[in-house]
Amino acid sequence: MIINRCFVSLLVGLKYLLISFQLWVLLGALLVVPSSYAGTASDLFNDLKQRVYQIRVIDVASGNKTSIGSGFQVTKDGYVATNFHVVSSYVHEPDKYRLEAVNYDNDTDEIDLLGFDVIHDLAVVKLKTIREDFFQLNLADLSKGDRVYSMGNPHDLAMTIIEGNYNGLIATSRYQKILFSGSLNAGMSGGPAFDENGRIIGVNVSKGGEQLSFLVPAKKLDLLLNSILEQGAIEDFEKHIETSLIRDQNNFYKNLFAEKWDNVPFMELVLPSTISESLKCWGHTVDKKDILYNGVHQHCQSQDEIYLSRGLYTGSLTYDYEWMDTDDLNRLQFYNLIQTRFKHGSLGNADKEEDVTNFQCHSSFTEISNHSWRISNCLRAYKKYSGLYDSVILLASVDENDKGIIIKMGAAGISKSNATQLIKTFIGAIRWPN
Amino acid sequence: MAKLIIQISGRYGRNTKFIKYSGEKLLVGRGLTNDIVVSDPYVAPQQIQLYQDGTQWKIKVLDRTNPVMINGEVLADDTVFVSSGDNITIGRTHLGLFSEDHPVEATRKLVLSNWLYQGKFRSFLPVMLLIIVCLLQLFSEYQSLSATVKWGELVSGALLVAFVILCWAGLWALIGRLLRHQPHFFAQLFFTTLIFGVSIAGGTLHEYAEYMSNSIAIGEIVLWVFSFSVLTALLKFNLIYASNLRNTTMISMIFNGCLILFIYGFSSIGDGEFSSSPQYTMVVKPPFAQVISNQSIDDYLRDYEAQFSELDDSKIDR
Repeated sequence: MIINRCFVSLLVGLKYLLISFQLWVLLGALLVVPSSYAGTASDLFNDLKQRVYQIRVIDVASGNKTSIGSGFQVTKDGYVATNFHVVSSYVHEPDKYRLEAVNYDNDTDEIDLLGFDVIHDLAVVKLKTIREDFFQLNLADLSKGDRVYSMGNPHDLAMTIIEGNYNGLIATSRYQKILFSGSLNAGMSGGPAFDENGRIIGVNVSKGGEQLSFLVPAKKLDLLLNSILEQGAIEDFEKHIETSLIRDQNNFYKNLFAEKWDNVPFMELVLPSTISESLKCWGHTVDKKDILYNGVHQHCQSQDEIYLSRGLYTGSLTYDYEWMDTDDLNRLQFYNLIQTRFKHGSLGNADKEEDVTNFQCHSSFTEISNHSWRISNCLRAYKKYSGLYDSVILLASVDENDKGIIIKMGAAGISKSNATQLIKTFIGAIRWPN
Repeated sequence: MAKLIIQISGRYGRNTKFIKYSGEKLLVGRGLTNDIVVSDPYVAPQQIQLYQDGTQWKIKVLDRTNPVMINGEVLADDTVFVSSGDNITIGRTHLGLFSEDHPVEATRKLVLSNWLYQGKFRSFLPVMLLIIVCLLQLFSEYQSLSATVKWGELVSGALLVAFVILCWAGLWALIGRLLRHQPHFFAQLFFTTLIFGVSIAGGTLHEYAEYMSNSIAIGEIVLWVFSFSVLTALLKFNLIYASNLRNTTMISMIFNGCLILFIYGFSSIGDGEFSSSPQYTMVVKPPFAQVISNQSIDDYLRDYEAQFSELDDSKIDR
């Protein structure tokens, strides 16, 4: 019996010894085994490098690359995601250029363009040589501060990996963009941005500043992939761009007109303030001693533009108020002042004859809110995209001898009906009670 | 015996002198034995002989090294009759042949002669006018300022205008000295200053025309017409006092017409070419200058929509 008790005690002791040993092993493992963040970039790079490509646009005549970017495989069938702007030369002149993908081992593969989303600057190409190594998409939301990595081929130097943090979607962006505190560089456009598990959370798209970059959310890529799978490859590239632009500006202006504009006092007038969340407004005053007039200026501008080709952007909206009054200038001098400021704002989005027509301008005197206004409006059409225009309008009050206001507005890539409605709504909102 | 008056002119009508001859014949040439000695190396020692045949005079060519011309045509025959008013060209010398009863041009009236040529007013009026025009320029610049007053720049501008006027008048005085041996500097200064003053006063006329009519074309027409008028008046008076030209108005109009056309053509070269900036009327003037009545917002929007038809697909070269 004593022997049995001893044996039982021994077993119990062994059991506790085993448990404590396991605890010690676990504790040791926690201390000894590196954390999941240490060395991850290196590991991720080694694991994922075969899924990332340099995308090249090759000039057919010379056989040399004219532009480069990055891309990454997203399906087992060899679909590779990149940016629209990386392949835009080929989109606009498919006879003059061709596309290539170069992998980490420097193997070159010809690729075909399947589809693109010009609004969100995405494109999908297909490899001819199928490799089964591809990224998965992470469509769930991340948290601010989450570690994010990005790969690409900056300045054609070599495939690289950078680290940063996810900082959420930009609240004031018209087109959803992720704010990434990493340092993207030219050549990394179209490359993958992924989480610690190597799942795609976004596509590199542009650099904003020092350690400030932007990514297109993975959800947009997912939508593009699905549309390609459902509808097949795009055949008429320019028509597709035209349709996308018209649809996008219709959606934007529909929402703009549906919202109630906040009209706020601006000196003696009441004017629309920020008419859309995607616009940022700035202001300043002119009141120096040696300047013979007082000026108050507000400038509002959209933060996003759609890239179409080199030297051609669209989709921006901007407006400007400039109030001036004086006690020191006589009426001739004051109107010289107004005349020097009476200049259309520059959209700065197109400068080539093959892209847009010349502006057609008209001027008139119009009564708005019981005041006389000099109005100049100018329009030009997009040569490749029927139904889209750039519209700029310039108004100056001309019936007061010592005070006045100049209002400017510019909209790029807008349809006739939206342009008319925009001007109608904007002018209709102007109030000058005095 | 009919007297013969011979007008001898050098190159370009310089050094004209008249000789009245009452003999029966005279020799003309470079040689010192001639009755009329012409110092022209292109004239032969004995070039022509003029002699009376009854009541008329005849010319005989003595040397054909260089052609002898009568009224612009080469004299083919050795001897021909000449008439009062004929022009003979020998070498580079022009001989005008006149009878005593040949009609002369009516006396030309000197413009503003009474006070311009009187001693005490000669310089006073042009200088006073120059000062007034400089003040006008200063005033004009002052009215054109918009943000700050920089008196240094305004005064410099006025002095620059005075400098340009003085240079221009001086240049034409020099031309007059060379052509007519009389500079008429103060007359040149007076008219140059007067016309500069008119151009300064009317400098913004085309802008007001454009604003009042709401038409860039009308503004341009007013600008070109005004410029043409000012330049023509300036050149006309400069020529009157610097030369003996008769139709100074016609000459000025033709010259300035060509100049305006050239400048207009040159400035229009780029018209119609592509520009990424809008070309629109940039003129804004005080309330008193608005003569066109305001349109309603609805009319404005209607016009705005109609503008799109100018950019119809059919009109765009895609």
